[in-house]
Amino acid sequence: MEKLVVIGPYTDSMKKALARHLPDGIQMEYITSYEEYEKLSDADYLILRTLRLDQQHVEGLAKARLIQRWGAGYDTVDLEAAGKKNIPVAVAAGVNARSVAELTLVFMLALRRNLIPQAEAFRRGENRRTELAASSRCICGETVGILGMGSIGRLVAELTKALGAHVLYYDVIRMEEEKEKELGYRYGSLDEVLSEADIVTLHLPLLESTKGLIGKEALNRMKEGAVLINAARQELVQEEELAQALKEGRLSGAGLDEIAEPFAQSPFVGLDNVICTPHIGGSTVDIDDAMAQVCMEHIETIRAGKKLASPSLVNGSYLTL
Amino acid sequence: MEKFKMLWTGEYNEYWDKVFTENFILEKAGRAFPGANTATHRMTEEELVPLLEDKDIFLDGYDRVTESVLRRCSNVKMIMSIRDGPEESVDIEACTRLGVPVLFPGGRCMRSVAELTAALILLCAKPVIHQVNKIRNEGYNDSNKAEFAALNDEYFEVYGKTLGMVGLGRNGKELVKYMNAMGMKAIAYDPYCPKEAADALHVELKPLDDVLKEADYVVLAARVTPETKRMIGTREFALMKPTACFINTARSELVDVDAFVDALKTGKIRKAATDVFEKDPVTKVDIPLDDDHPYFSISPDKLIMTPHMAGYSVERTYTAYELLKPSYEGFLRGEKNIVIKNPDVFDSPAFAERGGKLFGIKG
Repeated sequence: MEKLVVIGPYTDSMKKALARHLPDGIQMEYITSYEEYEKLSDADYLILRTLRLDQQHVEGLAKARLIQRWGAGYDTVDLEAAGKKNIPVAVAAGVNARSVAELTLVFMLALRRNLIPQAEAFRRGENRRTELAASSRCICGETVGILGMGSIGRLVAELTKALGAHVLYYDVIRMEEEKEKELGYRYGSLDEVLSEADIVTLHLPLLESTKGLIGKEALNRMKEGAVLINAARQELVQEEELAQALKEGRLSGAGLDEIAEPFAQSPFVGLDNVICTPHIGGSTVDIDDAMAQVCMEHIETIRAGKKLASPSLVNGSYLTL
Repeated sequence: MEKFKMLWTGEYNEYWDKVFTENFILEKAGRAFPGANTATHRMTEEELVPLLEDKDIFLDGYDRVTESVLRRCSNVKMIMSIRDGPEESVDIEACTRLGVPVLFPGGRCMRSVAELTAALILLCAKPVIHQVNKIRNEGYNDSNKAEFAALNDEYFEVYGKTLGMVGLGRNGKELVKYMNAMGMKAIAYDPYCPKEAADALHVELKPLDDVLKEADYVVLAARVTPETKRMIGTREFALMKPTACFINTARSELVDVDAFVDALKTGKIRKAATDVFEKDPVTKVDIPLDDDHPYFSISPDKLIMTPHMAGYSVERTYTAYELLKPSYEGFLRGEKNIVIKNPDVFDSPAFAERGGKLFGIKG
């Protein structure tokens, strides 16, 4: 019997989905903390949601044939270490794109209208309606700057376009110009996107080259009163610098789906124009089934002796076989 | 061409101040002053009449135009309301009888309302407000991380879900366009919406009960009329799915408030968002609810409340005048195909003596 270790936490809905798609002949075990990592030593397959698989963890894997991420990001796994041991690392590309795009839309719409401060004040019995309405704007007619045109960025572009916004984007790989024209998107350099957009939204992977990308210089380029949305990885943004820009009123708000812990020491404490959520973007109950299915399909592929390819496989360049 | 005298009490906008100053002999009062956008006072008849009695045109913000005002200011030949629903400030029937056309900027709040409604739908689908508050109050650390991770089961996509519109006017149609793009399937109850208009937006028109039974998100986008008043009560909430969310950015009078509170408390529906309240805006615009109002007894996780702000945005002030312009220019050129609340005014015997004196004058 082969062994699959699922590294958690997982909700009931996720567990049900995983059980539904578990191939015959594989025994599934859940672990939720680093203390239980010894159970990984004889695992054939791993599925990882939160927690990390750093070099020392990867080196402890004796039998692993696949490290599968529950999600689209892969910065929590040491790709090189896994590659050296010939363990493929795979993601579920695109599965959570719609959930993340929808969350991005919530951030945009809520921030532009000061919706959460309005609702909070109302609950407290205060009326900030006219005060906050004076700076409340519609997305329609605004320029939405998208950094990163992967599956999430493209969906965000589609949804904001439907709201009547102008889409301006930057990606290392530009779309075909004909496609751009057809969709009505404009391509710009990183600087152009930062300086022309009313709303800047990040949909980039976390790489050496993108780490801390949004720092003092980038923030200074942004339009006065613009908002920043980060539903990707926290490390893309230099939090102290962003907090400073918000405190000085250079930016009017930020929506962040991941924040450095613990929040009690966060520079965003006390800023009511910042929406912080605990990296929930990719998670909705509606995609649990599809996510579990993709993870198990990848396991079946490896089990059948076949290979995974990009964009599912993310450490192909480190694999030695 | 002579210039007409106009009183302006609608929200101030710099660009339109210039346009109106060029085209009319303009007097500004109330909100029509720079920086006075926050004024919420509505003029009494005694305040209004002295300002209005020598004017030809009244570009009205939110000040009441009663039959008495119309009779005392008999020089007024045209009213332009900046409201999407001019009947909420202006006695339309009296205007028709006295021969005064009422022009209005249909769709002024369309985008603002549709965008806020979209935001509230998404906020019902995703408990973001709950998490924002929890992080603000408790921090974000190892002790509550697992609890947050478990919230996945309360996060939904709107993609593939059914949007049930009650009312499919301008605001409703605009919302449907957005939600179509997000992959929602729209159905609607609107006895006045032509089938072709609904078809064009891929909306299936259905009887009210079917809309309430099938929708995952029920959205009110209807006007208050004798026929729609309290149209959503105990029976209607009972028809909705227990997992449904109910969003009201239209008017509180459409809903039986006690039935609404009961539906949330007894789980007849999952969540709700309301931007409208019984007392607002007719009697009071500051704090529309008392602390002991039953809405405050409902958990913020179940009921999102915003202070009647759906129509508010910086853009809508500009948009209102932009939408009015073709109508008043058309009227002055003698066109009847304009956005007018009382098109039957053209047949009114009194029209010749009032509105008729401006109608077609620039034709």
